[in-house]
Order: sequence, then C-alpha cells, then structure tokens
Amino acid sequence: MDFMHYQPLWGEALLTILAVLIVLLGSLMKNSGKLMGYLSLAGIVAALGLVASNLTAKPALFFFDSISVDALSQFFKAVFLIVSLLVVIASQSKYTGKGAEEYYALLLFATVGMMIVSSSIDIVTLFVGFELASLSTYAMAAFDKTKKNLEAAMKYFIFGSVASALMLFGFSLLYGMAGSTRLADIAAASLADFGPATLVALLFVIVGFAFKMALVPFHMWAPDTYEGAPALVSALLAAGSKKMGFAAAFRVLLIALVALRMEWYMAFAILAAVTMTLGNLAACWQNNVRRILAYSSVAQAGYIAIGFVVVGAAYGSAPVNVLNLGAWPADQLGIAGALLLILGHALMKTGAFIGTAQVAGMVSASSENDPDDISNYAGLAKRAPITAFCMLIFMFALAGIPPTAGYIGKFVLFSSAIYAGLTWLAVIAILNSALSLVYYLRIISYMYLKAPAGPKVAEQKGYVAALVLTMLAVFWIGVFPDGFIDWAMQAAAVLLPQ
Amino acid sequence: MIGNAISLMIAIPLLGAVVSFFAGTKAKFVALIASLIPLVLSLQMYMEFDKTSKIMQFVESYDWIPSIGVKYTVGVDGIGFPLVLLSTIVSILVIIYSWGETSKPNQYFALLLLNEVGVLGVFTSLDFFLFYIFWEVVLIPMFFLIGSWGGPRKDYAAIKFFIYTHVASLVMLLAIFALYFTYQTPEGGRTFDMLTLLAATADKTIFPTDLLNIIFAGLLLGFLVKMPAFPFHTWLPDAHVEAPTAGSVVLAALLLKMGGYGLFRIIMPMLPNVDKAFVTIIAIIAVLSIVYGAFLALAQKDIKKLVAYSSVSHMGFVTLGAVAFTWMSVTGAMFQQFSHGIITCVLFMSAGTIQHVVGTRVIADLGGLADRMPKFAVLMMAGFMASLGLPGMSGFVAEFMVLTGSYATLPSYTMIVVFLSVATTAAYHLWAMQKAMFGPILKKYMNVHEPHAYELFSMAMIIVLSLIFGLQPGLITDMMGTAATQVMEPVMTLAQMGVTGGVI
Amino acid sequence: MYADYAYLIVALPVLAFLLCLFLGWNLPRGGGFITVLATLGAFIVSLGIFTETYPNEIVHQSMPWFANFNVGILIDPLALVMLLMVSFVVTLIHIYGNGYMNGDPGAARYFAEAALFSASMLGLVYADNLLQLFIFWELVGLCSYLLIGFWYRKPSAAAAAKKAFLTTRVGDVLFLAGIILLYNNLASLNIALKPGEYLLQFPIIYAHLMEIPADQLTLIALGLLGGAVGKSGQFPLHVWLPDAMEGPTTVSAMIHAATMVTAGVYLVARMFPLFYAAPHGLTAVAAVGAFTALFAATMGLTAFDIKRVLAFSTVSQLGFMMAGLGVGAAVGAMAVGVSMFHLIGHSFFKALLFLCAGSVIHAVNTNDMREMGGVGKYMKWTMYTMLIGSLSLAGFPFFTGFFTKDEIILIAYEYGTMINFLPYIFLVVAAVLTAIYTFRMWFSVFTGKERSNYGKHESPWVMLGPLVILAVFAFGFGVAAQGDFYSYLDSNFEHYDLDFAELAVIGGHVLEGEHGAAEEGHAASEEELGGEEEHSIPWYIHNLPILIAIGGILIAGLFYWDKIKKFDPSQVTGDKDPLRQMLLKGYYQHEILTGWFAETLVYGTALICNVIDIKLVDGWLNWLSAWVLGFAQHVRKVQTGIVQNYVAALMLGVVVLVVVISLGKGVGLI
Repeated sequence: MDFMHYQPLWGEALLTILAVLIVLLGSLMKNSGKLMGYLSLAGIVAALGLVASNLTAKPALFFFDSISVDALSQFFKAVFLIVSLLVVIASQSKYTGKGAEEYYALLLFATVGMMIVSSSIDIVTLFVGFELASLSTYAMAAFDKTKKNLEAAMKYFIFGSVASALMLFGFSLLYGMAGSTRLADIAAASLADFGPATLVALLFVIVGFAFKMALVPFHMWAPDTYEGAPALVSALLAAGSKKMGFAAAFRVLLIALVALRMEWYMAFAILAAVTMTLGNLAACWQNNVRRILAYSSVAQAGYIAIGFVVVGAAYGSAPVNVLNLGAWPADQLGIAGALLLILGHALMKTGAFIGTAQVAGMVSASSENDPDDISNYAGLAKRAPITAFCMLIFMFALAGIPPTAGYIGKFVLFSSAIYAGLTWLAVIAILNSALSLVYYLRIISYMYLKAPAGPKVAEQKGYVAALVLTMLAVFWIGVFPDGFIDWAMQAAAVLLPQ
Repeated sequence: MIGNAISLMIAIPLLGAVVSFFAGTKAKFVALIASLIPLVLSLQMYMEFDKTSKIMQFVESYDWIPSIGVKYTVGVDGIGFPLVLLSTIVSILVIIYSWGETSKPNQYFALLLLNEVGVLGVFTSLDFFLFYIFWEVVLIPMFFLIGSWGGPRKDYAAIKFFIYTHVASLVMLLAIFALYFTYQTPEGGRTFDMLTLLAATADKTIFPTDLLNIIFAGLLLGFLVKMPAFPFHTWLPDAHVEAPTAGSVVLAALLLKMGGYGLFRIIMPMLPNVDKAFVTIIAIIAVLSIVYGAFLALAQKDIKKLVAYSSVSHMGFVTLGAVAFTWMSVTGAMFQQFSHGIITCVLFMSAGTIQHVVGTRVIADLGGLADRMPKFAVLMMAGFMASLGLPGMSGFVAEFMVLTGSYATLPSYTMIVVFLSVATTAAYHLWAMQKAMFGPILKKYMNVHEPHAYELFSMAMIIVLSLIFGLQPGLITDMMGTAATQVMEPVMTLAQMGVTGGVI
Repeated sequence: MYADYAYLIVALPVLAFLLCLFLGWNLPRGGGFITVLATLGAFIVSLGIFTETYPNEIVHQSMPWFANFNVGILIDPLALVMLLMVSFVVTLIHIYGNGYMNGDPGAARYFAEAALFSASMLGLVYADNLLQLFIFWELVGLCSYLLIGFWYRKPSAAAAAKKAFLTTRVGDVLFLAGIILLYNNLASLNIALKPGEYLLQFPIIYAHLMEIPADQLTLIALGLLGGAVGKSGQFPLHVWLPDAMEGPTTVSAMIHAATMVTAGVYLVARMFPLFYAAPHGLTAVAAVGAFTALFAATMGLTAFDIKRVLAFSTVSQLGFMMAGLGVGAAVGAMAVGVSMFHLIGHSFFKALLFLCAGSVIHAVNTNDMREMGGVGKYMKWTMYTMLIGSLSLAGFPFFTGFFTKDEIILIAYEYGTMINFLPYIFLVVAAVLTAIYTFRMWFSVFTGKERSNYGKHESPWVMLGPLVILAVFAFGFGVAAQGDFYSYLDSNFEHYDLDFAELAVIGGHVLEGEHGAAEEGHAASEEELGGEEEHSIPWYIHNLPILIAIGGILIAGLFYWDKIKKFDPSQVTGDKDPLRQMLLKGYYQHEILTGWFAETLVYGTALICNVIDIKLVDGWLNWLSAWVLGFAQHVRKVQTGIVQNYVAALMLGVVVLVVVISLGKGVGLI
C-alpha cells in the first residue's frame, strides 16, 4: 500500500504508536516519567510539524471516505496539538514520578481521539474518535486520585456517557433514515425528506453536542469537573476536548443536517444567548478561581455558538441582510469567527489553567485551605510576577481587550453577527463581555492591587515556559491576525457549498 | 521633515514603558527621556506643520490586516495635532510632577508612558480598527493607576471607571461594525479607513438616514461617556477622587479629550446627514453639562471633586461649540479642548499638592495656607483664575469664541449658559481659593511648607503655557480654524487628498 | 512722534509689574520707585500725544490678534483725557504709596499688583475694540480683587475681595452677553471689512449702528449698562464697594475712587452713540444713576468709618456721572462732555480725600471717626488739603466740584423740562446730602476735642507732597479747564462716521431745534453755549447749587462743629431709630444679596443638584449593578453539585429545545 498516500495521517499514526510505546516502556523501566514526558513532547511537536506543513490542505479522503483531511481538520488538529503541547510542557514540572507514563499515554490517546474527530466525515468514525478522547480523559480526570478528583471524574464520566448515549441514538436514527453513515449521504437523505424522525435525531445530536460544548443547561458537569480534576487536565478538557464538540458539531450540522438549519439555527440562538448570560452571571460570585474559569469557558462556548447561529441565518451566502454587499459571505465569516475564537480561547484557557496549577502548587505547600481559592491570588504580582503577568494578559484577552487573540476572535465573530443582521444577538454578546469584566477584573485586582498573601516563591520552570509561550501566542494572534483570519476563512470554506 | 514621526512618537514611549518597568528606581529618568523625545518630535512637527492646508499631514499608511481591510494609517491635521502636542506636553510635565513617587516607581512611570502611547494613538490613527485598539488600550494603565495608587475606595472607582467606559466603547464598536459592513469600496472590498467611511456617510444611497441615525447614536454615546457629558459623567468624580494626582491629571487633561476628539473627527462630519433632532439633544446635553456641572462643583466639600465637576462643566463647552456648528464655535471648542487640557493640570496638581502637604482635601478643614506656601498659592491662584476664564489666559479665549460662535445658531442655549454658568464658575473657584488659602493660618498647619521644587516647576510651566496661548491664541487656533473650515465642508478621504500608501 | 510709542503706556507698567514681582523683594520699599517711574513714563507719553493731537486729531493703531479679532489703540479726546487723568493720579498715588506701604512685608507684592492695575486701567482706556476693553476690564477687576485682599490673612479682607469679584462678575455676565449680541448682530450684517478693520472696533460699531434692529440695540445697551453698573458700583450692585475699603487706603484711593470704578461710566460714555440710538437705553442709565446718587448719599450720612463715608460718596458721585450721561437723551452728545468733566474732577478731589483720610488713619491708627476729633491740631497740612477736597466735593463755589457737579444738575434740569423732572429732583437732594456728610466727616475728624488717645504726628512729605499737588487740581481744575474741556470732548464723536440726528430718530428722542442747536453750540464754542443756556435755564435754577453747597455745609456745622454747634445728632435720631438702623445696615442689602440670594438661593440649588446627582444620575447605575449581581447570586445557587438537579435541568433544556425546534418548523413532534 502506498505509504506516501497516507502522509496527511502520519501525525495520528505517530502519536498512536508513541502512546503504545510509552505504555510498554513504562511497564519495563522504573520511574521513567521524565523520559516519557520528553518522548511525548517530541511526538507532539513532530505531529504539529506535520500539520503545519500543510495547514490549508486540499480536501483528501481516506479509508473509504470516512476520514477527510482538509483545511478545517487541519485547523482543529492544530488547535488540539497546541493545547496538548502546552499541557505536556507544563506537565514536565508535575508528572515526572511514578506512573507518569500512564498520564502521558492517556494524553496522547486523547489527542489522537480529538484529531480523528476533527477530520472524520462519517458518524461511526466520529463516534469512535469521540469515545477514544472521552475515555482517556475520564481516566485523566481522576489521575491524582484525590477525593475531589474522583468526584469530578465521576460526574464527568456520568454526563459524558449520557452525552455519548444521546449522540449515538441520534446517529442511529440518522443511519436508519439514510441507510449510510457517511455525512454526505445523510445530507442527501435529509434534503430528500425529513419527517419527525429527522427532527428527533437532530434533537438528540444537538443535546449530545451541547453536553460536550457545555452549553447551558447541559453545562452542569463542567464547573464541578474543571474544579475537581487536576489543573492540567482541566486545561486539556476546557481547551481541548470541549472544542472537539464544536469540531464534530460543525461537520454534522453543516454537512449532514444543513437542510434543517432553520431549526438548529433557532435552537442555537437560544442556547447561545442563555449560555453566555448565565455563564457570566454565575462566574461573578465564585471564589474558586478554577470555577470562575470554568464558568467563563461556559460563557465563551456561548459566544462561539453564535457562529452556528450566523451560519444558520446566512447559509449559502445569499444576501441575508438588506445592506449586505458582501465582499465575502456572512456565513463564512461567522464560521471563521467561531474558529478564531476557538483558537484564541484554547490558548487563553490553557494558559489560565496552567496558571492556576502554578498557584495551587505554591499554596498547597504552605496552607491546607482550598488551593484554588481566590484569596491565594492576592498580591500574586509580587509573589510570582511572571505567572501573574501572564494571567493578567489571559484575563484581559478573555475579556476581549485588544490587541489580543480574544479580541480578534470576538471582533470577527460579533461583526459577522451584525453582518448577518443578528444585531440583537451581537448586542447581548457585547453586553455579556462587558459583564464578564466584573470577574476578570476581580481576579486582576486580587493579583495586582491586593497585599501579597505570602512570600515570593520560585515559579515552576515547566509552568513558566508554557505560560510565556501561550502569552506570546495570544499577543501574536492579536497583533498579526491577518494570516490567522485567512486560514480560518479557508477552513470555513470547507463546510460551505463551493 | 522627519519620516515616520508619528510612529516614532508612539513607539518611543512604548519602548520606554517596557524599559522603565525593569529599570527599578531609575525608572523616572527613563520616563523623562522617553517622554522628552516625543515632545521634541511634536515640536519639530509643529515647526513643519502647514497651518493652512486642509489635508492630513505626516501620513503613514501600511497594510496591516488586508484580509479584513485594516490598514495601519496615522496622520494629523488641525483637529488631531493640537491634541498630540497637548499629550506630549502634559505627559512630560506629569512625569516631572511625580518625580518623588516612591511606591513601585517602575510600574508607576511605565503606566504613565503607556498612557501617553494610548492617547497619542487615538489622536493620530485614521483607521477605525487602530483607533478602537488605542481607545481601549488607554483604559488599562488608568485602571492600574487608580487601582494600585488610589485612595480608600480605589477598587470600586477603578472597576467602575473601566466597566462604565468599556461598555460605552463596545457600543461604539457595534456602530463601527455597522459602518464597516454597510460601505463597500469601489474594488468591492471592505475598509476601516476612517475618512473614507465618514465621507461615505454623506451618501444617502449607501447610508439611509434611519440607519445612519442608529450608527450616529452609537458613536455619540461612546464619545459623550468619555467626555464625560451629563448624564454619563458619574464615573468621573469617583475616578478622580480615588486616583493619584498624576492619574487625575492625565485622566482630565488627556483621556477626556479623546471624547472631544471623537466629536470633531467622527461626529461632526456625520451631523449634517442625521436627524436634526440630534442637534437639539446634544445641545441640551451640552448646556446641562455646563450649568449642572458648575452647580455641582459649587456644592462639593472635597477640593478634588470640585475640580472634577469643573471638568464636566468645561468640557460641556466643547460639546456646545461642536454642535453649534459655526466656524467660530467649532474653532473655539477645539481650543477649549487644548486649553482645558492645560489648565486642568494645574488644578489637579494643586489639589494633589494640598493633599500630600496638608493631609486633607476637605475644603472646610483648610485655611490660610497661603501664609505658609506663598509660591504655591500664587500658582494655584493663577490656575484657578485661568480656569474661571480670566482674560489673558487661554480659557477665556476658548469660552468666548464658543459662546460668541454658538449664539448665531443656538441663541437661547448660549444665553442660558452665559447667565447661569459664568458667575457660578467664578463663585466656586473663588470660594475654594478663599477658604483654602486665605484667612489666618490654622494652628495645625503652622508647620506646613512649600511643596517640592519639581511640583512647583511643572505647575509654573502650565501657567506659562496658559498665558502664552491666552495672549497669542493664534499659535494654535490658526490650524484649528483651518480644520474647522474643513469640518464645515464635506470630509475628504485620504485618496481625495492625494495621499497614497507608504510614508508621505 | 509720541503716538508711535503709545504702546508704552501699557508696556511700561507691565514691565514694572514683572520687575517688582520677581525682583521687588530685594529692593528698598519693594521697588515702589519702579512703579512710580513706569506710570510717570505713561503720563509723559500721554501728555506728548496730547500736545501732538490737540485739538482735533486722533490716533488709531491696530493689528490682527486671533480668529477675527484684533488688538489696537484708539486715542480720541475721550480716551486721552482719561489717559492723562489716570496716569497722573495713579503716579501721585504710587508716590504716596511709597510712604504709606513703607515697612509692609508685602510691599513688593503691593507695587507689583499696583503696576499691573495701572497697566490694565490704561489699556482699558485706549482699547480700540470692545473685546480688548472687556479683557482689560476683567484684569482691573482681578487687580481690585488682589489688592482688596492684599492683607489676605484678615478673613474680612479675603471675604471682601471675593465679594467684590463676584458682584462685579454678575455685571460682567451682562456685559459679556451684550458683547455676544453685538458681535452677532454686526456679523449678520455681512459688512465688507477693509483690511485692518474688525467687527468689534469702535469705529466700525459706530458706523453700523443704524443697521442694527432697534430692539437688539436696547438689549445690547442694557447688557453693557449691566457691566457698567457692576464696575461703577451702581445700585443694586454697589454692595461690594464699601466693603472694598478693607484694602490699603492707597488702593481705595486709586481703584475705588479715582480710576477703576469710573470705568463703568467710561464704558457708557464710550458707547454713548449706541445708548443714544437704543430706545430707552439712556432712560435706564439716567434712572440708575439718579437713584444711586441719592441712595448712596443717604448711607453716607450715617457711616462712622471715615473710609466708608468716602466710599458711599464715591458711589453717589458715580451716580451723578451716570445720570449726567443718562440725561443726554435730552441734550445729546454734550452730556458726554459734562459727565466726563465731573469724572475727571471727581477723581482729583476724591483721590485727595482718600489720601488725606489715609494720612489721618496712618497717624491715628483707626478708621472710626468717633475715636478722632481735633486731629487738625497735629496735622495741619492734611487738614487744609482735606478741606479743599471736601469743599470741592460739596460743590462750594469756584472749587472744581462746583463746575463739574452742578453742570450735571443743570442739564438734568433741561432733561426735566423736556422729559422728566425725577432725575433732577433726586440729584438736587443728593447734592444737599453730599455737602452735609462731607462736612460731618471733616468737622468730626479735625475739629472738636480729642475723643481718644491716638498717635499725634503729621505724615512724611512723600505722602504730603501728592496731597498738595492733588489739592491744587481739586481746587483749580474746574475753573481752568471748563471751557476747552467741553469743546474738546464734544468734538469726540465727530471723528467717526455717525450722525446723532439719525440715531435720535432710531432712539426716538425729541430733539427740539434749540437743543439741536445747543449741541452745535457746545461743539462750536463756549460763549454761544453760555449765551443760549441763559435763556433756557432761569437764574434761580442756575444759582441753586451755590445755595445747596453753603446750606449743606452750614447744617453739617450746626451738628458737628463745636464752634457753632446747635444740635446733638442723637437728639435728632436716637440709636433705636429704625430709619437710622436701616441706613447703618445699608438698607439690609447684605442680608438680602449675600444672605438670601447667594447663600440660600444659589448654594441651595447647588446642594439640590448634588443630591440629584448622587441619588438619581449615579443612583440608577448602582441600582442596576446591584440588581445584576443580586441576580447572579441566584444563578450561582442553581449549581448545587447534586446530580439529580442537574438531570432535572437537563430535561428542562431538552423540553425547551423540543419546543423551539418544533416551533421552528411548525411540525408537531409528539
């Protein structure tokens, strides 16, 4: 078989092999954590390099048209790989001891799962990828085996499996309707006719995805999990596996179920508005920083969901709003905005959670109260200046203050909403991002305006490396967004009729 | 002439900010240099500035985000340049004034420089995207200046300031989106180019009046909050009262001017094409700001709060002059921006000096300070006189022009202002002066002393400036007059001005 | 040749101001001599210009300033007489000041501010446009504020300074409104201005008066009058002037007697054509002036503070000048000459009186006349010079006051014959009172027995010298200058392109032929004037003033001069007498204006605004944020951590989605 033909998939292959290898080696060698860390780091870098080698790939189909490598998949793969990369770098200062190899193996498996999801155009492959990622992350969520870990993992597992179940049920209906598992065929069938059955399928699919994306009211698991799981795992969940939900949703909804877009567009409009509002409101009064971040990522999911609304409203680039003399169609801009925000949010959230890991590490040494309590962030600027500064940037970025990745994402996304004539949604979103300042500024004022809660501490190298990298990336996207916007545009084009 | 003068002027303080952040206690020297260079640059620009030409000068234009039609375009004309000059002058004087800052000086001066970067950017950028970025960037240093050097309620004040003004700018952003998506360039693309979009608003086929009304309202809100104009002024007193002196000075002297700048650069070109009701609304807002602000100032117990409300009142003249839309009123309003920017410095510096020399700002607790600090008393007196519009100093010229000009189009509003505000303004200034500085020296203040030389120096410099521009307003009103005539005409785009990409 | 140096008239004092301000502290007597030299220089230049231009030339220089305004110098007869008077009197007062302020630690500050004042006053006088005049107008106000509050450690001084500034500011508001109106009216005429011409220049204003609508003219006139009322301490804005005596006596003499307070009169004189053309413009002036003249005189009767007596007399005399201009409605432009004549004369004898009072106070160390008496024994020079001043003020025959004041009374009579007798009556009564209170003062200070133990010595010559010089003028100026002064001043408006006949038509004045002639007569020569006055005014009216003066002095003598004393004041009016109380309290104007208007009305409004701002304008915001955050509290509680609740929420969500989706398509699902 033609080895070169599968070149676009080498990344997945490499990581899978590496994961297996790590498990084997780990069982042979004694405390090989460090080595494994470096191995997986190398592997991920390599995979990232492969993806980067053709960011905007011409669509290529593999495995009986169940896998498609195209700009969109590359975009998501890049996102996931960056997240894993940062997590792995950060992990160098936490998971080095006994059993670390399992951690890295799981991490790699999760990554591979996400990558598969991002490029699968067949509901079965999609589901497999989903489960691969989910199962590995269930395990990771409990990795430190503290009481909180276990509770978090439990909740995550329960709701995760419920989600999978609902999704699977939806998929089965689709298969029943179309007689094929390929999104393209389903699209054809759903265009032909969609009766109540299709709608039921749509309902379940949406609910399933909504769980993964943690849209209100299917978000309940997220805060508890992100709070309870190990900080770095939370980073992976919030920044990575959550985005996997979007990757899947984009493909399924826009390719398979585009005929029903008037329905899901309505649904997502409601979900988006409710999610961002409640997410921000709930974040205002939290005292646990990781919980604040959890709710903030709920809210961010709400913003991202605007992308679906815009696409639904403006699909097919027909002039949707009387003033639309479009240089490019609104729907493409909408998806692009969502993608940019996904990228930005992935970075900012990973960074933020790594920051919390840093702080928790500082604290749990000294005191025994909740290591993530906001009081521990008092005077962080003095205690851990670099961490504090990076956190500061992430907070402003999450709040959408220019010139940062967060700003660019919101800018394109909200503007697309205006463009598509969804001014009301844009206004809600804008007011929300103003509201979100309440808690972002709260964290900032704790870090910079309050008296230190303790002495200056040495910052963990791994964490610092990851933080600084992320911070630079956030700025880079903010200051030179041009390439990223182009890239997102092309990725978006994949989902739209040419 | 200097290539890239404006970019240099923006870049150097930014660099300075970074350096002084790591310079520790040497920060102030870094800051001094980093703010001196832009001053020199702007003076050089003043020499080269063509006061009679209506086109943008010192224009630099590069592609930045072509995919969405964003360019890095900066340039100045009679609207922007006086404020650039103001920013560079005030920035360095503030840095000199706070020479003695001892708590976290590196951050302190870094933030002051960052602030300069922000305002310079706002006053020079000719691309809405760029404009908005600088507009937002300015919030951050001020947030920290208030938040970490502020008074007892600093957290409340800082967060209120940040969120209040941020909401307004977000509304403005929505309006900018609307502009952006409604207009399409002849090549079929989109552009954020300020002048092009503004010129396009005159075209009813692209911007139907009812759409333009909405856009206009959004932009207007953004600027009125920054000014701040009644009823959006309430963030200002809190911010001022809590902010450190330098913060207050920069806030009143530069940040408020961003709002006024927006009025001239963006609102006025659209004014002829929007619903005429707006004129009435803005005029009412202006008059209320002036009169109501003056009365509020009269009622204050805290001298700094008094000065803060006086800013509301004085900025009202800018709004009035702008909306009156006669040549003289507009020129006067532009000059009022400049003059208030200068004068308000000395007022806030006085308040700050009193605070740290005497230990309180409550007017009722002060008395007879002139006995102990005569030099300071003279400067403060001069400042207050300038602020109450004493002829011979810049404030009078500006307000006289605004009133004289406004009468032609808004007679009744103007007369209300004349009758209700002029005397009131004098009243609160003199009352504060007399209570704080004159009368017998109170026992507890027997041992207060003159403030530091550098504080007196920067105050004196400001008085001198106010005199110079009061006696020879032509120095700056000439270019303003040109700009005013240009605002009266439909706006010209860079293209129509014959300005192409690259450095001109 | 002198005209080319006209700018020096302002420049020299400004230079002196800077020198005293920065170097004065190290110079003997605070560098007072610099100020003297500067004003002396100004006087010399003015004199030079006078010799050049007299009798029928004017100097007009102008250069652009900013926007469409200019700075310029306009020296016509009206301005020139003021220039001469101001620079001359001010110089003398500065000389006197060198003695008076000797040893005061703030001497340098005093002379700096005094120099600044001189500059502003002179600048005000020869400004060629209304804006420039207003600017100097405000500057003299500033200097008055600074100098009244010169002893700023005295709370009463600081308060008086503030009061002076604010009260005049009220007038200035009207003045400013007037200027704005005038400017906009002229601008709306679209006058084709030649280069070097600007809208607010007096020649331009005069030339285009006809084209401005009459009602606008009246409004403008009232605005300007408001300014004049404030500056010249006319009713009801006179309240600040008596308090202004808190300042050094030299200041009272210079600013609040001789020069600044006359600025209001000067403004009306300068804008006389406008007032003349404005219907009811001059009527208002006459009313204000006549009423003030009497009103202030009554208060002068009861004051015990020697300086307050003089202050009230100043207010009253300014009333005379105003009235003199006001009655111009009947006699036309000659009113300017008459009024200005009194202005100049008054500034001589009033400055003299104040300086004498200063000299007395300097020795006696009290202002209260009840603690003086018999001072004459020790201060001969002061006594006799002050006597001359008093006689002049009382209008004793052949003293300056006799010619100046009584001319006003005469034209007031003419006004009466044609329009209304009220001003005449008011002025006559005021004249009687003037004589009385003047000599009440003089007698009770210099004659009688010593009522307290005060310092007994004559003042130094540096102070007496100016007294003597002023005394000469206070006696001789009137008789010497009378004839030429009128003809010179009446020629003033002939330099401009305006015709009083036409203006009269707009202003609605009835100019009978003979009064038209009267005007010509004045302009032409003096005999004619005398000639035609004979038949227009009966002899008894003509000589009434002599009677008034002598009678008034006699009455005062009967009460206060121990040699001929017949009555005791307390017999006439007891301390309980409500009328006396009212006069002592100055008609309760302090209670009304400061107490009720300023503190209750204005400050009350301010407080109300403050409450509104906190409770409403800011309140709604705090309410909103509180509400949102309160709501957030509830939202947070939803997240219980209990899986059952989550499942409930989940089901809810599903139901909502079902509804939405089915609605979206309109297909029922179940």
